[in-house]
Amino acid sequence: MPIKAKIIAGKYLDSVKLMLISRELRSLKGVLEAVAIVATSENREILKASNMLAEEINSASENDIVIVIKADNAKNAAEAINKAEELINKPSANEYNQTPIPQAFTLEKAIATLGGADLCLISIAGKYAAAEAEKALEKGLHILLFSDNVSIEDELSLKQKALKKGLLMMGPDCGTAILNGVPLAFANNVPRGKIGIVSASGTGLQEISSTIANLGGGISQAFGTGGRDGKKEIGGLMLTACLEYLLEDENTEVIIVIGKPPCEEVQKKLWELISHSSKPVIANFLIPMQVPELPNLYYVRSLSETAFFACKKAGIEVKTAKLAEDFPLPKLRGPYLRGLYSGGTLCQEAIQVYLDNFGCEPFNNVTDQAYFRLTDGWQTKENSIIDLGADEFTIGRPHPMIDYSLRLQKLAQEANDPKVGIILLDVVLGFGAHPDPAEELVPALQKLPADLVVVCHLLGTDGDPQNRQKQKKELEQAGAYVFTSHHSACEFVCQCLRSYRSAKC
Amino acid sequence: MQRKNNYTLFRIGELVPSGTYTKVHSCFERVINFAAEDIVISLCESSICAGPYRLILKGRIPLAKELKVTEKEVVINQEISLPYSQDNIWKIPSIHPYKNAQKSYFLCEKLLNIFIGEEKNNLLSLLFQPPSSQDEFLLQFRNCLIKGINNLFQQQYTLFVRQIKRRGLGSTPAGDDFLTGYIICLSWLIANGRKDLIKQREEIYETALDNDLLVNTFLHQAYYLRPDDDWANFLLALSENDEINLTKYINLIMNSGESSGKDMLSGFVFCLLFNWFWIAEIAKC
Amino acid sequence: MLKLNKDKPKVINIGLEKFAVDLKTQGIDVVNLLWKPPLPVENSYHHKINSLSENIIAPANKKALEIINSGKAVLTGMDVALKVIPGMHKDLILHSGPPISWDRMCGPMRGAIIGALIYEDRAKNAEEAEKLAASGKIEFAPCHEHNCTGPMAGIISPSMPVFIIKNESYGNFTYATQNEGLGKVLRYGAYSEEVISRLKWMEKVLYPVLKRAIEYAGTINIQGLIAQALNMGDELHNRNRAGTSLFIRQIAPAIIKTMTDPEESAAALDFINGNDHFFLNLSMPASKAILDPARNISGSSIVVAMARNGTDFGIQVSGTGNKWFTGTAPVPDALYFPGFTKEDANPDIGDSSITETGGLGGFALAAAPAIVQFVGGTTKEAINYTLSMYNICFGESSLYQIPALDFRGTPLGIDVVKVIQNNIAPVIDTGVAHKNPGVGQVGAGVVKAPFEPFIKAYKTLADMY
Repeated sequence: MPIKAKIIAGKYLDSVKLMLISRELRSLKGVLEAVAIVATSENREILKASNMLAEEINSASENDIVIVIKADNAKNAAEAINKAEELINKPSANEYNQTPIPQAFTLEKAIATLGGADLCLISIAGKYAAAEAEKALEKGLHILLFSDNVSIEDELSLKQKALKKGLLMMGPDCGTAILNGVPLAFANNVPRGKIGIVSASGTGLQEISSTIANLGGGISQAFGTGGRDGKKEIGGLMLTACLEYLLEDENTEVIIVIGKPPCEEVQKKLWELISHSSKPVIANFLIPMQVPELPNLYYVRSLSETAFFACKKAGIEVKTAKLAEDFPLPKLRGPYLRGLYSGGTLCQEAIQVYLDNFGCEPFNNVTDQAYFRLTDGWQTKENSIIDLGADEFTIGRPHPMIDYSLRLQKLAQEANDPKVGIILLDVVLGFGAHPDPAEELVPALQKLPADLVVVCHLLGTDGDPQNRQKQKKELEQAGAYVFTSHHSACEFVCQCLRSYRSAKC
Repeated sequence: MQRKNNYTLFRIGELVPSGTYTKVHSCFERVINFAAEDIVISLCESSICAGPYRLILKGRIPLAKELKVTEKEVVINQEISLPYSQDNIWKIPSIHPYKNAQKSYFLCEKLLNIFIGEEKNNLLSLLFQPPSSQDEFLLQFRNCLIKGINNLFQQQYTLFVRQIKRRGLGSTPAGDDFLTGYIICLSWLIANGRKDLIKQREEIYETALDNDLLVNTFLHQAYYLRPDDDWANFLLALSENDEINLTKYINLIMNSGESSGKDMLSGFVFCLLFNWFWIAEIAKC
Repeated sequence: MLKLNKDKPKVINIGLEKFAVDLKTQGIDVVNLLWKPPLPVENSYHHKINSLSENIIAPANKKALEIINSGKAVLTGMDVALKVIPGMHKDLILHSGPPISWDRMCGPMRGAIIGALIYEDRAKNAEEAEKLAASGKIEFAPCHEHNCTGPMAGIISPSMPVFIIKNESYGNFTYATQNEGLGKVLRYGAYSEEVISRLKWMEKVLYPVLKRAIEYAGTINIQGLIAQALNMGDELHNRNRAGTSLFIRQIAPAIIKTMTDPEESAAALDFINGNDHFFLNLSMPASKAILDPARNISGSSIVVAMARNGTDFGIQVSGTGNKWFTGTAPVPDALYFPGFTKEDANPDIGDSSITETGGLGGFALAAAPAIVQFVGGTTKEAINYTLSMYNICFGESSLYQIPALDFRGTPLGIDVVKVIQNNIAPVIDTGVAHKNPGVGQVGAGVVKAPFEPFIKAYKTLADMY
C-alpha cells in the first residue's frame, strides 16, 4: 500500500485545522486514510503497527507535526500529498490574500478569463442593473441581482427571458443565495446537505440556513427570488421555477419556502405543485394563515421552527443542547422595548412574536396597519421595533448589516430615555456582513447604563468568517444577552416585558 | 523605541512570572507560546479564555518574537507596550468542594449523557465503539487506549500512562490531552475529599511529564488545580449544581481549537466514570 | 426547467468588490467586471455603427492597420524648417495639438511662442514678442497639419532645424525639432536668455554635426531602434533612455567620421548623451510617419492622431478626413514631484500622444515596468495598462513586441468604435508641465484621454456613412 508523509515545518496548525485538512484529504480519490499527528516515538510505533510508517518520517524530529496518507496506488498517494501541501499553505480566511482578483473590462473578456462562467452577481445602481443583467442572460449566465430600484416591468421581462433559457434570475433586491454549497453575497457558511430553500427574504434565508447548519443539517440549494416575485405582476415566476427544480433535484429531500405571503394566484400555483410532491415542503409566510390540507405540505410560523422541522423531516438528529441559551429573567428599568433591526424578515418575526404575546403590534416602520406605522422610523415611541435596512434609512448610506453607525447612534439615543427598559438587536454574521460586529458594538454596549437590558440575536455559523464564538463571547462579556435562535430572543424579550408588567399590577 | 499601537492587554494570568522571553515554543494563528523554564507563557487573542499562564489581548495578536513582562506592563518585540493595572490580573477562582454530593452526582450523569450520548466524536465514543476497519491508525490507537485502561483496572498507573501518552491525532497528541483531563478530575475529586486518590494522581502525573513544555504546563495546571477560565467555570458549575452554566462551559471547552478541549474532557469524564461512578455502583452492591 | 451545473459556480461580479473578495477567500473562481456607467451616446448611434460595422468599418480598418503595420520609418536627413516643412513661411509658427488661437493658449505655449519669436529675432524682449504674437501678424497652425510633431508646446519656427523622417513604404515625410533636454526649456514655455542661447547653439553647432553625420550614415532605421528599445525598458514616450543610447551608438561613428571640429562634435555627443529624452523627437515623427498613410480611408474608425495643445485635446480619425474632434484637455491625475500638486499643473499638452496612437507609450507600458514605478504604479499595473488597451485597438503591431507578454505585438490601431462601446479611454503616459511658463516639468503619470472627442468622432462616423 503506498504511503506518503509530509512534515509540516514552520507552519503551526492547530488541531481543528489539522482535522479539517485530514478530512478533506480522506475525500480525495484513492485515499484510504489520512492522519495528522505529532511524530513522537510512541506515535511512530502506532504508525508501524498500521503499516503507515512512511519513509519521510525518518527525518522528522520528536515534536514535528506530520501528515500521513495511505492510498490505493502511488499516483493517488502523490497527488494527495500535493493537495496536503496546498492545504497546509492555504492562507486562512482571515489572512490578507495577496493574489488580486482578476479584472476584466468587458463581459466577453470576463467569461474568457474564467474559461466559462456560471453566474453573474450584479450590485450596481438599479438604473443600469437591468441592462447588464440582460447582457449576462444573453450569454447564458444565471443572475443574482442584488441591486434594487429596478422597475417591475424590467423584472418581469428579465425573469421571462431567464426562464426561457433555463436560467435563474434571483432578484431584484435579492441579497442571499447559496448555490452548490457556495454562499453568494450576504450568506453564511453552511455545509451541503438535503434541505433545499426557496426564499423571497434575505435574512429569513440566512436565519434558517444558519439554524439548520447549527443543528447539524445541510443545504442542497438556497435560492432567492427577490421580494416582489410573489406579486401579481410577476406571478411567482422564480418561486415556482425554483420549487419545481427542488422537487426534481435528487440531492434535495426536504424543501422550505419562505417569504411574505404571495398573492392568491401564486399561492394557487404553489399548492398545485406541492400537491404532486413526494417530498415534504415546509412553507413559512411569516403570518398566521390557512393552507390547504396536502399530504406533504406543512405550515410553520417561526424561522427557528422551520429549521427544526426541516431537520427533523430530513432525519437529522437535532442537538438541542448546543442551541438553547437560557438566562434568568432580568428586571427591567422601564416598560418599553426598542427593537433595532438590520434584517427585514427578522424584524417581521420580532413584530409577529410581540403580536402573538400581547395581542397587538408594536409601533414599527414596516406594517400596513396605519395605527402602528411610524411615519418617521427614527421617532420611536412606547414599544417600537424598527427595520434600519428599510429604504428610508439606506438611501445614500451603506446597509446596517455592514455599517453599524446608525444603529449605534439610535442605541445611544434610546439609552437616554429611562422608560426604555429593553433593547433587541440582530447581529448578522456571514459573508458580506461586517467583519467584526463585536468590535463596533462592545464599546457602545459598555457605555450603556447598567440597568438597560440588551438582547442580541446572533445569526451565523461557526464556519462564518467573523468567528461566531468570539463574537458571542465578547458581546456577552459586554453585558448583552446573546441568543442563537431569533425566536428564543424574541420570546425572552416578551417574557421580560410580561414580568415587568405583571410586577406593576 | 515604543510607539503608539493598536493593542491592548485584556487579562494577564496571576502566575505569569516577570521576565523576558525570547524563545518561541510554538506559534498558531491565535496563540503564541513562549518557553519559560519549565512552563509556557501564552500570548493569546481575545477568543481564548484567560488562564494563570496566559496573556489575553483585546483582538488579534501581533507576530511576537519577544515578550517582556514586568509588574506594570508587557512589552512585545521591544516596541509594543501594553501597560496594565491590578484590574487586568486574572486570578484563579477558588474551586470549592461540591455542596451536595448527590446533586453533583446527578449532574455528572448528565455530563456523561451529553458527552457520550450526543457528542459522538470523542475519545470515549472511540473507546465504546470501534472505528471502521479502514481507519487503521485509530484502530491501533484504540488498542493502546484499551491496553492502558486494563492497566488502570489493575492499578498499574505507570503502565496506564505509558500506553497513552504521546499518542494520537492532533497538534498536541490526543492521549496527552486525555491524561491531562484525567488528572484534573483526580484533583477535583481530591479537593472534594477523596484522599484515596492522592497516590494515583502522584504516580500518573510523574509518569506523564515529558520533554514538551506545553504538555507539561497543562499537566502542572491539572495537578495543582490551576485551571484556565473555562475549566474553572466548568468545575464551579459542577460544584454548584448549575446545569445552565455546565452546558455553557462544556460548549466553550469543546469549541476551542487550540487546547483540544474535547480530548481533555474525555479524560475528565473517564476519570469520573472510573473513580466515582463505578466505585459508587460497587458500593451500592 | 432550471438547469444548474453540479460544480461550484464560476462567478462574474459587477459592482461591490467585497462580494468578489468574499468569493475569492472561499476559493471560488471569480472575476471583477469593472463596470462604468455607459457614455452619453444615444442608442440610435450605436445601432447605426453596429449596422456599418461588418461591411464598412471592419474592412476599412483592416486596410488601415495593414498600411500602418507595413510602414518603415527611417531618418534620412536634417534641414531647416523653412526649407523642408510643407507650407512653412516666415510668419508661421507651428504648435502642438489641434488648432487654437492666441487668446485661448495656455501659459507654457505662450511662453514658448514668445521664446521662438525672440529666437527668430522678431522681438527683442517678451513684451514685444507678446504684442507681436497677439497682433495677428503671426499665423499659428497645428504641427500635425504640416507633417510635423512637437512635444509639449511643440513650437516650430522657421529657423529651427528639423529631423526628416521618411516612411519608405509609402514615400511620405514627417518632421520634428531636436529635443532640448529637461528643465528650463522652450517646450515648457521658458524664454530666458539661457533658453535662447541653447536654441542658437543647437542651430549652429548641434545641427550641422548631426546633419553631416546622418548624411554620411545614409538612413537610420528609427523603427528598428524603437523595436529594440522596447526590449530594453523604453516605452518611447516618457522613457527614451534606451532609444537615445541606441541612437548614439548608431550615430557616434558617423559623427566622428564627419568631424570638422573635435570640440563641437564632442559637445554634440555630450549633449545627446546628457538628454535621456533625445530620442523622443525621433520616435514621435516616426509614429506619425507610419500613421499618415492610413489617413482618409473611407469608413475607417482608426485614430490617426491624438494631440493636445494645453487647452484642448484633439483627435483625427481616418474615415473622417482632416476634421479635428476636440474636448477639454484634462489636468492629469499624476504623481507630482515633491513641492508640486495638481493645483500647479497645466492641462495635458503636446503631440507626444502620437506615440500612443502608434502603439507605443502608454500602450507599451508592459515593456517599461521601471517607468510605471516612477509614476507611482506597480509592475502588475504596467502590464494591465497594456492589456486593457487591446480592448480598444483594432489589432496589434507586427514590429513592436513586448517581452513580458511573450513577445505579443503592442496594441495598435485605436478604434473609436471600441473606445465608445467598451467605455475604455486610451491611456497616455505623459509628463506634466507647470501651468506657468518656463517652470518646467512638475510631474508624470498615466492619464486617460477624455471621452468627448471620441464621442464626437463616433457620432460623425455614424452620420457620415
